[in-house]
Amino acid sequence: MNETGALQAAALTSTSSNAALVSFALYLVGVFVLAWLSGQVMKKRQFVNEYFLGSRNLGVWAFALTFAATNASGGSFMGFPSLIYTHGWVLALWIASYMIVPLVTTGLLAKRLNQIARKANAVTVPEVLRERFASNNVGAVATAVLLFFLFFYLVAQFKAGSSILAILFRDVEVYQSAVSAVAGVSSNIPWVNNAAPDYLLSLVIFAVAVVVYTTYGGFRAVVWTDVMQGLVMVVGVIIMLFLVLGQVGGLGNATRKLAEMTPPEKGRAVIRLAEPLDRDLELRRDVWLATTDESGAKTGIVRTGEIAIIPKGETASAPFEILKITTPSEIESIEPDSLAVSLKVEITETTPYASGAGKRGVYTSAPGPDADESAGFLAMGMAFSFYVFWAFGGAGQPSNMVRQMAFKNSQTLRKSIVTVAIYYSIIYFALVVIFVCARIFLPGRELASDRIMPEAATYLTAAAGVPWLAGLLVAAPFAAVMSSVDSFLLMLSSGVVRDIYQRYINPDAPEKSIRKLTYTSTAVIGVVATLAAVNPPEFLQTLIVFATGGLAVSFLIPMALTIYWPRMNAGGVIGGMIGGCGILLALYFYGFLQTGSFGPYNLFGFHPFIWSFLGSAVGAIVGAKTGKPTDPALVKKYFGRA
Amino acid sequence: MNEPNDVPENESFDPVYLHTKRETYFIIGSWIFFCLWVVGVSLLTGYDVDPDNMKLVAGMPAWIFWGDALPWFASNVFIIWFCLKYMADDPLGEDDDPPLENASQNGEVGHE
Repeated sequence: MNETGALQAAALTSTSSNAALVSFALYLVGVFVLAWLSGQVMKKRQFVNEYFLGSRNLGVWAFALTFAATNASGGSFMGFPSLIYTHGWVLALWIASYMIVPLVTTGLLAKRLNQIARKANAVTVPEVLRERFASNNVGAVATAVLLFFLFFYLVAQFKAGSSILAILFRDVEVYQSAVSAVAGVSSNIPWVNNAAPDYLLSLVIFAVAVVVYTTYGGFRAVVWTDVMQGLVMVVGVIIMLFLVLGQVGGLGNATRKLAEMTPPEKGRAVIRLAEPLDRDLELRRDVWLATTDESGAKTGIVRTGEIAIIPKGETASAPFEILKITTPSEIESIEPDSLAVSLKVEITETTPYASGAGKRGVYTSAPGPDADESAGFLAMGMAFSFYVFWAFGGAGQPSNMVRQMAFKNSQTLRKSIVTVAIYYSIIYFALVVIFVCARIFLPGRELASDRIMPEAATYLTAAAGVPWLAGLLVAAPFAAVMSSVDSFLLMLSSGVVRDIYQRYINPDAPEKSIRKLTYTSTAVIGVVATLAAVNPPEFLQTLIVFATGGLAVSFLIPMALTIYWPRMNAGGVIGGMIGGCGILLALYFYGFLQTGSFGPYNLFGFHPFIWSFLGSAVGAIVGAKTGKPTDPALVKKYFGRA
Repeated sequence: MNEPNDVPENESFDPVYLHTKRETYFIIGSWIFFCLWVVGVSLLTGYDVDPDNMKLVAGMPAWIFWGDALPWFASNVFIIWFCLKYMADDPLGEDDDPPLENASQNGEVGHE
């Protein structure tokens, strides 16, 4: 980006952000209207079945889009673009399993699960397992595992939603005033003051919006808003794809430029003044600075990753985070930002990527560059792991299982799978194209790559002269996050109400109490997740993979055997859950011990999901073989001809 | 070791169970087929590609086209055929949500 371009983009950002604010507000109004309409429908139906399962009456579009939108979460629109941007074309291989995901995740269990849930009159996933074996122990273990992993997932989604809002509103004057007010309050509160004030404010806005409409509208509101959000996502992605291809001069041109790139280096630098000033000098993050030789000629270019301050009366800052560009053509073409004072940059340390450093072609080939992994981003074992993970990980998600219990008939299911397959093909392949291209027009974003989606949306619409579109484009990832959060929020509250309160505490509770408890628990869970998201783990995608992996390895095999194997029993379900969940936790814990940060340990190069999946299968079969047989009357009820 | 459960004879199994079991085998088979295609082509042609000799197809690296874009298209064709032509339409049971006026009027949850 040249200097003129940078200034122009900055000027347009303000306009586009105001337009974004209006578009976003309209979008939120739509969400609340749908929630209100859902609330009206709920008054005419039985509360529990309607609130948690939409009365098992979903048609093709509702089922397909709620399924697609719930699965395309904050990970898809924040973490995934960030990974594409950071590692290049190899992400097409990483996500390739989505070509078969709609068939595996819905076709594998849906029809049979729907039938069994109807026979059992079950509203939640633990309830299906409990009724199938008439075992409270199964229900209790399933509920505990579900609540544990869902909570991690919810926290990740809250972080994603808040990050999007923080970027969307960062140039809006009213928002910035509110951020200053929040900063004044939060800076004195321990623990809360670790979070940036703009993030805190966005977190509160996001949490209030999603908790209110989910609490009020229940499952039907979630599904209807999912349909709207699903449409917003696909329209947003298609528009963005065309804008991107226009911006980079075609995909072939972008790929050829990408092949010339070498990975940047993360490091630290200090800035120096010739003379001290009579006030503090603050240099904001995301500023391009040139390094120069003694004659003042440009030798390199770096981007600041955090605020740097030269205190009053001093001439140098403390070392701060930077990203050093290494691709020769980019060093030449990126102009430093204009500053009010003359500064000299001194790089104090740099760390080359563990894989791909100094090599051309790493962004167009597997395994892709990686800052930490010497084997690259997607070594062969991991490519296979993710092909397994997305398909079977998706099939094992209780959020998908709940939807599979809610569609109207098998014709709905068949048409929905086709709809989702086409939908995913458009969304995921387009996202790969968009964000490999983003490396060309938005270089040096590796230090905050989680923000690349809203940043690209804002930049593209500004450059194309249609800033009002930014609202729609940024609403796409926000819609993705909201559509996941609402579903998971509802599952957590159904776990509390249906699987704990109604089962163990007060089975004969009147509907009025159930209704009150449901609203309260949905709201309380939302508040607790908000508090947990104040200081969430750094890596969004790692957290999402952990939570989805945990749910899948705990539920897929036990549920598949529950509905397809007449000899399955309660011992098999509990064995499968403990086997899968236990191995996953052990490998993440070992990963933490190895690296000191939250992440998996890839035993023999395979993701923990593979080992946990095997552990779940072994646990389920051993448990079933050694456990007490299921009552023959139950086997006949669920497997026999009516 | 416990005794096996008393399972129904083959002819007395629920037809929905039999259909879905058959469809499940088909789905797992298709997953294996596309996994071999995608992972196989990518492993053989996509790793450490020399940028000076990189071929492009439709603007993307050739290994992405043959190992990702093409199987993606093929899987969509397969899914459309499988869902619209092969998968059986089975009755899944009654809608268990009668209108509110027909539900129990004693204020309790209807399903319990």
